[in-house]
Amino acid sequence: MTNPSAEPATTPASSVSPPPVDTWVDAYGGILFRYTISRVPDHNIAEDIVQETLVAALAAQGKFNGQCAFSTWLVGILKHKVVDYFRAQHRQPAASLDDDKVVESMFNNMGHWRNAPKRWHMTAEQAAESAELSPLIQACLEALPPMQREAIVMRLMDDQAADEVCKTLQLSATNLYVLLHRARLRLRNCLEKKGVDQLE
Amino acid sequence: MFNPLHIFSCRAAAEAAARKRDAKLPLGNRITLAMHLAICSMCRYMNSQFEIIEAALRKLGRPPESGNANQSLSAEARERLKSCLK
Repeated sequence: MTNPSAEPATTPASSVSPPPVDTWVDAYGGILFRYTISRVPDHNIAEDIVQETLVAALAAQGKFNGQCAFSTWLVGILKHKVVDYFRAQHRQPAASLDDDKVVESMFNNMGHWRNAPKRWHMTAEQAAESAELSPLIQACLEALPPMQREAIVMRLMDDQAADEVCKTLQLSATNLYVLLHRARLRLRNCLEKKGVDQLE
Repeated sequence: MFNPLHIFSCRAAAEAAARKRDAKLPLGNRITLAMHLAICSMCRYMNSQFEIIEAALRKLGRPPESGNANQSLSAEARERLKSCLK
């Protein structure tokens, strides 16, 4: 899977100095960009965040102590930059959330499903390893409204506790739960439309 | 938000099943959700789909290590970043 010649992902633990700066973009740019684009589905913004990360790493490279791989250290900085971006998007705390017409249209007046969910063939264990599912779920993530996407990215992709996500996005717990609930239903709906029920 | 009289709608069950993944549901809601899931196969499918979606998102969240030709920095972006680091 890994291709060390294209993207060296590890640095010997004994080495305390980071690799030469002029190798960073070629060696780590791809890793950083892919991490970012799965969370911020806009190429220009993702590139800006990668740039900010590399510039911050340049300023802080003296602090790299070789205890983890250099790529891991860079991703650590990148995570903060992505969260900073999410936070900046939420400068104005939303007092109330608008209705989500897409989610509302999934149920009729009686609260029954308009389109019955199907049985998906894959298990969660298979999903955790599925190469076919990743691009589909990524496309569905991109289709989410931004606040739902940011909430679910932080909560599930970055595996943060709900109260952490509330703090970062300046949301009440109730509003966060509403966003996550809508995001889960939209992802479910979107994936089913893409035929995920047939994947194994 | 969860009136036990209404939890037997799929809409309310979906909301409770989703929230259960982010927070602890009050006992009454847990019971009504379990009762709904016991009688509604559609919501049981939804519930396992939530699990599949979580697993897939966690996978997507792991920092990538290997190359993926579809998603990479463009040549221009690489050059721009390099000049930035000079």
